Amino acid sequence: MVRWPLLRVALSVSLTVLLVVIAVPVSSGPAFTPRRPIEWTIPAGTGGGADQQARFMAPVIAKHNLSPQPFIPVNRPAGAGAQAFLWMIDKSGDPHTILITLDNLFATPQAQVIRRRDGGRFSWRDLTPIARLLLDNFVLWVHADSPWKTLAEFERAAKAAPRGSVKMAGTGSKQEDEIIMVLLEQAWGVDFNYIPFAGGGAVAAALVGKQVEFTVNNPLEAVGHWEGGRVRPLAIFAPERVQFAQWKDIPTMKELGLNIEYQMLRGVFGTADMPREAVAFYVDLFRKLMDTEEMADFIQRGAFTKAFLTGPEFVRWLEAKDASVRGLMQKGGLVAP
Amino acid sequence: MRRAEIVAALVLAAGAAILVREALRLPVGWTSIGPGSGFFPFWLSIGVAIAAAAIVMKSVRVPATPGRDAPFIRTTAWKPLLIAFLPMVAVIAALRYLGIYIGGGLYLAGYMTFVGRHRWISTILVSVLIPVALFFIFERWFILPMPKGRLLEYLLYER
Amino acid sequence: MDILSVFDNLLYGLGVALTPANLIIAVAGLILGTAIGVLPGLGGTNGVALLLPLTFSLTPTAAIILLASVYWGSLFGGAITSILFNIPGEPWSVATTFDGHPLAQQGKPGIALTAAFTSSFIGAFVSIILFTFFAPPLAEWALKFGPPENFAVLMLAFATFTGLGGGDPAKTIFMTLLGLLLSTVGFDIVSGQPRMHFGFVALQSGVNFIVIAIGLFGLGEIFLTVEEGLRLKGIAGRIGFRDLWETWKMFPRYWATIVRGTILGFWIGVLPGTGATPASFMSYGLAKQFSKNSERFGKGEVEGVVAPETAAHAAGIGALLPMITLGIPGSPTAAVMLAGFFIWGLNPGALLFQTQREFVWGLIGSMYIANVIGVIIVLTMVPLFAAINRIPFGVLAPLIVILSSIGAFAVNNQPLDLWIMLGSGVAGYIFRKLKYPLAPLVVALVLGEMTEQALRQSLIMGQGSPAIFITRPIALVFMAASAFLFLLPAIRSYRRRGPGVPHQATAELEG
Repeated sequence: MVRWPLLRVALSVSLTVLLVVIAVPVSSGPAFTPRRPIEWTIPAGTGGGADQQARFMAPVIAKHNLSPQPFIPVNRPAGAGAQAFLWMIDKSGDPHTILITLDNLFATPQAQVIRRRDGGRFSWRDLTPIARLLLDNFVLWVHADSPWKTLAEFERAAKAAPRGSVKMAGTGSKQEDEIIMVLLEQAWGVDFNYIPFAGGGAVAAALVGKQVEFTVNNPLEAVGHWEGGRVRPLAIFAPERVQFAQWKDIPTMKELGLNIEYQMLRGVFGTADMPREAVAFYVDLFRKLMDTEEMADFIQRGAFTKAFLTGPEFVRWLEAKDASVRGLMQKGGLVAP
Repeated sequence: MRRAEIVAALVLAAGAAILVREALRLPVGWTSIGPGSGFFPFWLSIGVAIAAAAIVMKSVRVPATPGRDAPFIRTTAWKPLLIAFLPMVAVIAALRYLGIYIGGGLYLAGYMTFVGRHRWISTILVSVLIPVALFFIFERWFILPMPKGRLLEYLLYER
Repeated sequence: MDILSVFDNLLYGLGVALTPANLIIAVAGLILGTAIGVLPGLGGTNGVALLLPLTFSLTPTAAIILLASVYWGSLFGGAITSILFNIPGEPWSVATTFDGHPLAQQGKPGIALTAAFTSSFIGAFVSIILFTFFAPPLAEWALKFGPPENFAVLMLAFATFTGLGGGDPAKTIFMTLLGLLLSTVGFDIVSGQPRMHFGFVALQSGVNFIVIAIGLFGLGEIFLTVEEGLRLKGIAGRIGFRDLWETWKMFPRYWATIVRGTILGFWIGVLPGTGATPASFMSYGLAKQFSKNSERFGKGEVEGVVAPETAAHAAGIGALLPMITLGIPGSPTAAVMLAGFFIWGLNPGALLFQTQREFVWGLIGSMYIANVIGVIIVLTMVPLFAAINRIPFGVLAPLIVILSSIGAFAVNNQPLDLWIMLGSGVAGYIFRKLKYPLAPLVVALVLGEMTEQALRQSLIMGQGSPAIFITRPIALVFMAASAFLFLLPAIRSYRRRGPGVPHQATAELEG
């Protein structure tokens, strides 16, 4: 009868271990607080729009004590974002890794097939949506020395010019800028000449240096040149005018009779299968962040549309956005075969 | 040395062939807007293959020196080379578990013991202090996250 | 702007930079920057990005002084690992390894370091003076450089490098083509297609040449040393301040190289499309072509350290010019600084010069002050750095391996790069033993991507026609100059040997 107690001890020990193993994740409780620095993945290189925003927001978060641990921006620019997206899947379930997005989250998986490690095709649904923060606008800019004072004048010139002689500079290939150009081409029945550059700064420089006739730079990328009297905005691709000082005089495409609208998502996503408590923590954090004075100032200077949105409405918005980007890219012949 | 020269050139030529194949998966022609995305990779890899072939021809034509060909790596040099190289492979392969700090410390300790033949006390001091110093520099002061490995992650954050 | 108002503004700027608070910030930034430059993986770009959050609580002037000082410090520091360990910490210090490391191995690390720091300083200081007086017109001129002009400048860079390889021409051609081919790995920016990635997502960002250079030079060197198995004790070199004087005595001899390096570096730095790296290579290539002891280059020639360092530091200053005057980043580091402008509540652009007098002239004033303080700091540390050469090999070798790994990983934050580094280390060892020249591969890898991009952008602009390179006057001038330089070795040997032996002449060109 020596065996019984031994077996019982063994059984109860293994049961306890099992219970502890099961209980630990549960007991991490309803409230999540980060225990280690949060890695903020940027699916683009240093100096770009997403990079600037993450590096702007991280210290504001620290300044207002919104998180007990710092946010550390880490660039993963490979494959037009593909490397960063796959990283977020590799980190599945990790509550300490988040992603700032730009529209390559929608465009890159259309322009090329990104395979997950398990062979499936990647889409934004693999990640955990946290919040939409801002919508970045696009403005049609021409050089200040050009004869075109209004969109109508530019349209007339574009239609009169020989095919492909009007040049546009844009960021990357098969991304937002090219999508917008294709929309314009189709609306006017013209053929522009698209020249890809590595970043928004280089694109703006190409216009200022009169290498090209126009760009669709984001406001923040071109505002300095505008103030310096080197470029002129003709129209904004937003659904309505931006209601800030100098920006409110720029007419929307719609007002001018062109049904073209494009805004870029500046949002935050969590790793695949991020615990619900962690998502709640980040939602709360970013809601508070958006109400800070620094963000208000940043939004005004960059002529962003403040657009905080979370939960099911955010997901619905994402579905619509994804469908629209896909539709636009199909229309423009920019999708992967 | 002559044999090594020929073998290396043959390997490079074979590598060039693989590169040509990879380049052929892209459009290699001249399109309406200039060269396609595969144009440069394709012609460059062809050029690399031709250059490699030229090196093979040349190295074969060099008359073999009378007597035994000097080996590429002297027999006595193999051991120190492998002592330096193999642990590197091991540490990088185990990066997921050891991370750069613990893995690097082990590499340092091993090398100091077996090659440097330093006293064990200085070996331990150096191979602990340097990774610790690097840890503070990169992780704490410059907040540049390096792979820390399962063990260190557990010790730092999970307990 | 007339000259008098420039002096007026400059005095005002020096006054701003010399306030005690700004002075302390500059010194702190310099020391930090030097450390950042020494640590592989923490380049100027990284360092500036990491410090950006700290500048939140500073005034814009103090903030830009801090970041700029970190940048100058990292420019000085980048040369240190190149010389001592053969690990280039920054793209533009690759050329510094060519002669800097051989010097250190010959027991003269102090001379190599002094030469690097001093020529950096001279290049920087002259550039700052050019910056002060000619910033706005130079920026206007730089804007005229579109893709065709950038392509022509890059052709010029390649042209200065003909004949760099030496030895077997087939091997030189092979390595150059291989470098160009490696530069095509990754995303093709024109078509948006990933290419030459063999199915690895991690390869889609391209083969980063810092990773390759760390492997080829740093690890390859270790394998070679291990094989020789001779110096477990470390190199005993003379250490002390006598090196300073001895190096400075040589400097008047290199005046032509210094002038050329400064002008080249500053001017190429100002162009937004190219940057410091081509400048350092061009300066090195030209110094070798025009030097009387060109055959000593690559074996520990002081002039081979002076040339790239002068140009790199001059380009570092030049890169800030389009940033300040136009709001256009001239380098990755400047791009991160520009991000800071928004944090500080400034809009970069042409208006800064008119509306932000304290900010702009405070920065220019601090360039003068910080570079003088910076060179003093690094020069006093020469004996300390040189002493690193004395660390026993049993400790130094694994330490270099660890630092190399950190540096290679930090570039893209991906473990695959460690394997690429290790593979390049083995390749570097084999190539060196079989006398395949490494320099052409690295130069081609660095310049290849920029060159292909500029070429294809130009062809798109010209709707497929290469005529764009001769119809634009600036591009035409540079294309002609590079054609002349390509042919220069042939012309020279033709004149030396006289007509009638053309066959020999081409052999010389390839060699």
